[in-house]
Amino acid sequence: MSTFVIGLSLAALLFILAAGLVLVFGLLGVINLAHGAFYMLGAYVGYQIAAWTGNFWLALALAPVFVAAVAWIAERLTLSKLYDREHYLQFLLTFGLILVINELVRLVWGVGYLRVDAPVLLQGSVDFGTFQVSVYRLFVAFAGLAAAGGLYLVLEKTLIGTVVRAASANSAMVSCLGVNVRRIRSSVFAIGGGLAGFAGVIAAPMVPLSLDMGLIVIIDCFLVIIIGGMGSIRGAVLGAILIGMTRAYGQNFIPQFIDPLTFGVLVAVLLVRPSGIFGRKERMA
Amino acid sequence: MSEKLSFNLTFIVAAVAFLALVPSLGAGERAIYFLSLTLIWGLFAAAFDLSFGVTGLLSFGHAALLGVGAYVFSILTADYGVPWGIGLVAGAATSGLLGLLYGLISMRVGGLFFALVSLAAAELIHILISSTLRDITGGHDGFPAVPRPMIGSSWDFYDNTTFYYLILAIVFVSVLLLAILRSSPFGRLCQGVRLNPVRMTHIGFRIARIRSLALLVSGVFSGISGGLLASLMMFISPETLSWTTSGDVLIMTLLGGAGTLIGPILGALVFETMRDVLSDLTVHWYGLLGLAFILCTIHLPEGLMSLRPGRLLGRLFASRRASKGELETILEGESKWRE
Amino acid sequence: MTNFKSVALAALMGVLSQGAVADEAFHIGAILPFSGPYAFGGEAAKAGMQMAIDERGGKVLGVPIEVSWEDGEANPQVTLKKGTRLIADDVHLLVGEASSPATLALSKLAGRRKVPLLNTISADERITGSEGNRYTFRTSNDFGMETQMTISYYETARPKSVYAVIPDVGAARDLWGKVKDSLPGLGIGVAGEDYPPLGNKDYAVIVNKIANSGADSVLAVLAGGDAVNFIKQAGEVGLTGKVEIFGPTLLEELTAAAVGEASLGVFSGVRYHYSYKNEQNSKFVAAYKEKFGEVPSVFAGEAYDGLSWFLDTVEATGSWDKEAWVDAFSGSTRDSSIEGVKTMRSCNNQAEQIGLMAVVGRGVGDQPELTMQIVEEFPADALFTDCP
Repeated sequence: MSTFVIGLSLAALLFILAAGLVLVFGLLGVINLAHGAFYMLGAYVGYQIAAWTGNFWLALALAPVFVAAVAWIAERLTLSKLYDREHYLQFLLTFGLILVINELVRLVWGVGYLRVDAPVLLQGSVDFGTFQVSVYRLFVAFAGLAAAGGLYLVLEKTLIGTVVRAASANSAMVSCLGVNVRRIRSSVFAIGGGLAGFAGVIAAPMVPLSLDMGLIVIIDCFLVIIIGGMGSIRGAVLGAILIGMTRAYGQNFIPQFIDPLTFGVLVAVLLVRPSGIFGRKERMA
Repeated sequence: MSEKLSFNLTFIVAAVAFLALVPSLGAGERAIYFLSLTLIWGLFAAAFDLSFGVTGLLSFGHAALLGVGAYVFSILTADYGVPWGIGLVAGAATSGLLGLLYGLISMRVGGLFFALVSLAAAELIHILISSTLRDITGGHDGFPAVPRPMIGSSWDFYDNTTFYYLILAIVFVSVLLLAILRSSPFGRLCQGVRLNPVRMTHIGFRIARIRSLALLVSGVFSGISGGLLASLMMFISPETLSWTTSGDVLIMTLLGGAGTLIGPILGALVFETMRDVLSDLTVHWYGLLGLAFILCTIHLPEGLMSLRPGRLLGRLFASRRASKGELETILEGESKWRE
Repeated sequence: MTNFKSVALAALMGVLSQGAVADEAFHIGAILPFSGPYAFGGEAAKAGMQMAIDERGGKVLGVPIEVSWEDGEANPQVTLKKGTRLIADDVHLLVGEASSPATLALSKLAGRRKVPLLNTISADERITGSEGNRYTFRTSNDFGMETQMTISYYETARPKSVYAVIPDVGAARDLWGKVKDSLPGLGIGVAGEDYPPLGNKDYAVIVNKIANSGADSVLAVLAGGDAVNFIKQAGEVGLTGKVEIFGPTLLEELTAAAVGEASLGVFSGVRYHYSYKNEQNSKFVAAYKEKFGEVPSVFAGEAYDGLSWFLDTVEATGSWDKEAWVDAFSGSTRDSSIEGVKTMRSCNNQAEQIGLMAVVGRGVGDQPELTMQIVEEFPADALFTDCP
């Protein structure tokens, strides 16, 4: 039972992380390799805000905004020039972005490990009788659910969500209707970055902050998306759950095979449904 | 786009002739080691371009093709006493088979999706080599004592300069073969598959087979460069299989000019030079490289080869927005969500 | 300092070897990680080496010392490339690297090209064992020492049962294998064992298994980021209060700070510590604090000690012949080490030295907030068997 809850929290974090990537791909057709770097930036900025104010919640609220701003600027300065060009160029530009962001983080915060403490409210653990789960993990699980629900609602039920979805399907038509497509694109990229930053702050109390944390998670993101189907939020949820549970149960029984097992699941899914479980036909949600 | 065989051949022969003279011109060991490394990466980049620039398959998992070749070669020659040349061939063959496997993947998924899946496949192999198969491969710590060849009693290949000549010879032959292949009918088929897969299918070509074959050949030459790398360093470790290696070769290819034979090799030279020079200047060199790379992607998407006057690179690499028009209709509809 | 016999021998060889001509500078090639996750270690080692050089006025054999600092990136391929370059530039001494595979690769190169290599960071036994060579020396701990210390720890601690968390790496598995064999003789049971992959981020399930296993002691052969993750997550569910956690390379000041309060009470081996009481160490720590504004970390201390030892040996031979240095260094003893007495074993070029075990506690005065407090010192003869 504890394994299940832990798997759920792993899945939740994976989902929040992957959601931004899915959004950017589904709506912009860009695979943002720098997503991991935004995650790391969020964690470090969150650390800084928490260090200055002593308030984790403030960090949780503000760091994603900062990262979103950085993403907006990056998009305006660089990515927007490439939309008419081949996809691999955009892909590669984001690779360049990783290197630059990594170096900037290193310049500001240096090379050691940094630590963020969970807020007092969320410390400690909950006793479920036979096992204990840390309160913070439960919080992460809820945050993931909230994020999934929130994204779904915004994209499907609100006007702005509909505009964004329409713009991705047929930008020319939408701009004929008077919508500023360029701004929408920048916003989507910014929100994707902000989500990554949010994931970073959420993860910060659980992992030591270091310069390679972005590189470590990016593979996980891709796994989630490949399994779930590119451009599908529903798919990302499923992919995250699949991988989170595989990791948790794998650790329980066969820890040294967790990684091959995770990739094995990937291969299995691809053999059965090559475009991912919810891929291709559905671009969003 | 036509690959002028005569141009490529002239360039190759001239370059090799020059490189063969370099040691006699008084180049120190440092320069020779640098050139040896650059030749190996150049071959790898050229092999990569066969898949990417010619056939249009963006693989983000080529590191595994390099690494598997390196490991198979190393294990056979160091642990089983297999002769150097045969070990190299075995490594190349294994990488070729892996390339074929990538080809099978490309039948299921295409475009950017293929890139991601190849990334995942390479990571899986990375993990297998660094932990699961630890007992054969030496795991995270790497595999030491990879031998140099023992050919003829008078040549000591443990001398870096002598080995440099051997590397030059092998890379020369390999690049020659690649040049011939690119200009051959098969090469044209691959380009057709890249430019207009639907049309090719209608004409009756089995594009899946062509892609797989391209990946196989790309794998073979990647494996050769892997074996050479292991033998040069006399050591191989799993770092070579990480996705950053796949990223590096992609950078090299784009920097130099994808879709050309010489571009990627040039790109390898520029990349290695930048690494060496920049890392001497500052600890933040990787960030500067990233910046250079961003600028290149925006302003110089066809790489350095596009700076060559009077050279028309294929329609797919057109950088002027004006030409996108009808191309978009053909390509976006098909290549973005390739079957 | 160095023992008389080897110095005399080296001096004699120095006189006899005509080919060793004096150079204008003593050139050290230092290949350390200055980028990537191990950059902290690289920077600290650089600081320690700098102290060693400054202390002797920046000179040895009457000429200035020049250091080429190269970024090895903890990557064997890059390290080899830099090593080849440095050797082509005629370095007199190589120092490096941090990651064991990179050091192994460098060591092979140094052995082939007959250039002395000083390692003060990597712990893999093979560096001075099965893959060692005449020119490679290590002045810091090796994993064999860690294994012995672990067994000694259990001899004293005598928990009822142990749960082992072993990363899936050869050296760690070997250590656990040997420790496991010694446990039945001590009446200690094995409550369970897990082999998570290196770089694993989530230990929650393993932590749970430990909690349910009834073990009262945990052996975690982790280090760096993995160690931080594990202990942090153990702390989240209060495990750190219920079991005694020990690891040979588990924590030091930086990683303890990254964990936070949960690290209090965790036992770890330390390879060097600033609080170790001896005259040389006190002087070194004071000088280091003055120059860098903080206490020296394990990497700084070991680098300072190793380089000082080697340079003193070079000085004593009075010769420019590398063979003489190597002969003099091997088998030499350093009485003025900041860790007491160290002897360079002539059979494998590994320095025999004390082992230190510490527990994480609160720092007092100007010490870091969370600091390692030495609880036991193991003499060298408890950790090493004689050279055959």
